[in-house]
Amino acid sequence: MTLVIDNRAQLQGQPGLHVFIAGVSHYPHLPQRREDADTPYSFGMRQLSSTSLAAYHIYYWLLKRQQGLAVPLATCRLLLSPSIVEINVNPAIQELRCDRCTLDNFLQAAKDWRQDAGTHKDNMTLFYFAGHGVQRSKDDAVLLLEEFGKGVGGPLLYAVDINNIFNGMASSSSYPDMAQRQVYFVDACRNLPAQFRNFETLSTSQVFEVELGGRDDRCAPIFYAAVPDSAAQGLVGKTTLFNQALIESLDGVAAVPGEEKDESGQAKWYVSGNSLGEALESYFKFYRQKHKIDQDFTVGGSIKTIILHHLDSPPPVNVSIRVEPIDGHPHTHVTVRNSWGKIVWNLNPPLTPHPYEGQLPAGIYSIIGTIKPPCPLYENFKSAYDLVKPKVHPSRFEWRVEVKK
Amino acid sequence: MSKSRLSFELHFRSDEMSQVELPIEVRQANSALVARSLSTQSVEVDPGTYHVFARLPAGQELHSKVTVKRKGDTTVVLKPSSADESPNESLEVPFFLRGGQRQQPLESKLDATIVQEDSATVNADDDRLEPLGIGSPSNRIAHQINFSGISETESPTAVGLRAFRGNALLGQCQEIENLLWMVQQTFVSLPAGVQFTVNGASGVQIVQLLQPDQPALNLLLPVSADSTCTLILTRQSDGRYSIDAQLQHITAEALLRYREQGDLESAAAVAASNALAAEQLLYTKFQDPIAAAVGAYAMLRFGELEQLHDWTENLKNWFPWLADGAAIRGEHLTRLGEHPQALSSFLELSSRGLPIFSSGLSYAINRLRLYVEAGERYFERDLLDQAIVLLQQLQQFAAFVNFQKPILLFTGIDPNHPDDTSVSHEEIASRSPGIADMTWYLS
Repeated sequence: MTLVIDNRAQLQGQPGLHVFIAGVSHYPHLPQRREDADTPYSFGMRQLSSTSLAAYHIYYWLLKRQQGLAVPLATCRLLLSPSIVEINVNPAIQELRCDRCTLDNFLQAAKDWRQDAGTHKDNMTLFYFAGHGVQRSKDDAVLLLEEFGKGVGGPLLYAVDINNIFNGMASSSSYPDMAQRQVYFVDACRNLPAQFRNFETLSTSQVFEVELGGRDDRCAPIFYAAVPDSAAQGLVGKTTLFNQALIESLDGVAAVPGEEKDESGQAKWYVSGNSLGEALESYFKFYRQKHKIDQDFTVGGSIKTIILHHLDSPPPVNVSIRVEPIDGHPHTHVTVRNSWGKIVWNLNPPLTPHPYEGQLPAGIYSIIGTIKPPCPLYENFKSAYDLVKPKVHPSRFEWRVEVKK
Repeated sequence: MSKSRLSFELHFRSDEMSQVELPIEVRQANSALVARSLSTQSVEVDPGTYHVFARLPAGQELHSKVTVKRKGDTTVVLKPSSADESPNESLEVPFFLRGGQRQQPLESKLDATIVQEDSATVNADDDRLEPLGIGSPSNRIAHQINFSGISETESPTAVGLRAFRGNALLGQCQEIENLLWMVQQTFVSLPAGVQFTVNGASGVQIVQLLQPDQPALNLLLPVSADSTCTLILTRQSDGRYSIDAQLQHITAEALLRYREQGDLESAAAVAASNALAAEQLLYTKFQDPIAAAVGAYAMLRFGELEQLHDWTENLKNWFPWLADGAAIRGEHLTRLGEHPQALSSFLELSSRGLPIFSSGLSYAINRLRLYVEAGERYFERDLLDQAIVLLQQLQQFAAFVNFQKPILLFTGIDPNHPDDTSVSHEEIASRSPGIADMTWYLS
C-alpha cells in the first residue's frame, strides 16, 4: 500500500495537501555490515538506521497536526524501506504495511502524486525524501532508492534527480492547474564520489518527462539537509538531524506571530517557509558545535511566502533569569511584565533557584529588577521589551538583570 | 478612526549604518503584526501603543515602544542597546552586517567522527551519527578543525594577493601585473585580519589569495566602473585566512548577509526596498549594476517576477561585461516560459565569463541542463550544441566552488583551470611582480 491517507472523497474537489514521503534505510545491494568490503557499485555507502524512521516521523506529524495545516490533508503516499534496527525501535513502521521504496513504486507514486496535485491550483504539495544521496555535479541532488548498488544498468539506474521532480511539477499544458504551493525536503548527503569522475555521463531514472511549460510562478522552496559536496547526518535508530530540527521547528520553534488574532485577542502564531529557514539555520549552528560536524542546510527553488502550519496557541518558551553581578542577587526583586504592563511573574529576592527558570507563552515582555531595600552599591534595572520566542541554542530565552552601578 | 503616520529613524554612530534600509516590524501588545515596512518608509496606524522591532543581519535586535496619538505623525528612533554597540564606529558596518557569521575555511572538510554499529538494538541515550551518503570528503583535503576556537597552528609565514582580469571560461584570464587595483591608503586592521578598498572597474576581475599548503582561493570582485568594494581577509580558528568582499552599496550588502544568515523574511523585505529599485541603480547618473544584480537575484529567489519588469533586459544589455546580467535575464525568461530566449541569454555567459555571484552559476547550470535534456523538441541543434559546451565549462568550475558563499569563490592557482592543488611557500615567493605580500598587514 502506498496511499496511506486518502481524504479526497471528503474534500470533494476542494484544495488540499498532497504528500509524498519516501524513506530508505535498508539497501539490500549495499554491504550489510560496516566492515564488509565495498562492491563495485556501493561507492563507500552502507546500510542506514535512521532515514525510514525520519520519514515515518513526518507522516506521523502530519496525521497528528493536520488541523493546523494551511489546507486540509488530502492524500499521503508513503514508501518505506526500514532497517531491522528501526523496526525494533518502532514496530509501527512495519505495521503500516506500506510499500517499499523501490524504483517502480517510487515512479508510480510520483505519477499519482502529480496527478492529484494537478487537480487544483490552490492545492499544496509536500515532498520528503530521507536516504542516501549523492551528486553528479556541485549543483544537483540525486536520491538513491532501495535497489541502488544492484550492478544492473548504469550506476544511477535506481536513483532519481530532485531537479527532474521539481521541474516536472511545474504548470504545463498537461497540468495547467498544477498546485502553486509546493515544499520539498531533501534529507540526504550531497557528496560527489570520486569514482563518478570515471563515468562520462551519469543518468538517473527519469521520474517525469521533460516538458517546458509557460510561466512558472510557483511558491516552491526546496530545503536541502546538506549544502553541495557535503554530508547530512542521521542519529542511528532515532531520526536524522534535519528531521529532528524540522519537526521541532514545525511544532513551534519556528513559529512567528501573524496578523490574525484568536478569540482571546492574542496573535495567532504560524510557521512559514521563511521562519522555518531561520530556525533551521539556528539548529545547524547548534548541531555543528554539538556533534563537531560540518553539516549545513540550504534552500533552493522559489521562496515566496508559504504558510506551513498554524499553532493552536503561542508556543511555550523556556525562560531563565540571572541577576548580575551575583552579589546583587540577594537584594534584587524581579518582575516580568507583559506588553500591557501586567505583572506575570513577581519574584521576591533572592531568586530561587538562581538562575531562575520557568516557562512563558511566547509574546512581548519586559523585565524589571528592583533593589530591595535600596542599596548604594546597586541600581534598579529595566529592560527594553523583547519578543520572547522559542530558541534553539541555548534552548531557553535568557534574561540578564544587570544591577551593577 | 483616522490613522496616524509612523516613521522611523536609525541612530547608529556611523553615517553608513544610519542610511541602511532595515526591515521593520510593527506589532501590537498582543504580538499581532500590524505592518512590515522598511526603515525609510512610513506606515499608517490607528492611535494606540505599538512595539517596533528591527533585526540586523548579524543578529542584533533593535526595539522601541511608541504610543501614537490621533492624527499625529510620530517618529520612532531605533538604535542599538549599549550591550549591542559596535566597539568601534569605523567597524560598525562589519559588526552589524557580518558580526557572528560562521567563518569556515573553504576547504573545511572534516573527518567525521562517525560510529556505525551493526547492532540491531539502540540505546536511547546513545547519539551515534551515520552519514546519509558517502560521508567522508570526496576529493578535498581533510583538515582537523579545532572547535575550541583557539588556533593551535601558527599563522602562515607568507600570505599573498594578486588580481586577474578576463574571461576564465575561455581561458583568457590574465594576471594584473601591478597593485593599482587596491587602494593602499584604505588598509584597516581588524581584530582578526585586514580590510581595504578595491578600485572600481568594468570587466571581470578576480582576486586570488595565496597561502602555503592551501589551494589558492579565487574571489570574483563585485565592482563596476562606478562602484568599489571592500576586500576582507580574516584569520580562521585553524590559522588559515579566508577572503570575502563587502559591497559598497550598503543595503545590497545587508540583503546578501540576511540571506547568508537564513533570515529570509528580512531578506525578502529588503529586496523590495527603494534603494535596490532599478530606477535608483540603473537609470541614474551613477549606475550600480552590482547592487542591481543582488536585488534581481533576490527577486528571483523570492519569486517576485512582477517586480522585475523588463529591467533585467536592460541590466544584460547595458553592461555587456557582466555575466550576472545574462544569467539573471536567462532565469527571468525561463520563469516567464520564454525558453528559446532564455537559452540565448544563458549562452552569452560564454563570452562574458563567470558570474560574480554563485546564484548566477547555479541558475545557469540548472537551466542549461534542463534545456539540454529537453532537446530538439524545443531548441535548434546548434543552440543545444553550444549549451552542452557551455555546461561542461561551467561544471568544470562548479566542482571547485563554495556554494555557501554568495560571491563566487573557487580554488585553483590558475583561474582559467580550477583545481584543489595546494600551493607551496616557494611557489608564492616565486610568483611576481603582481603579488601583494599581505604578511606584514596580518602579523
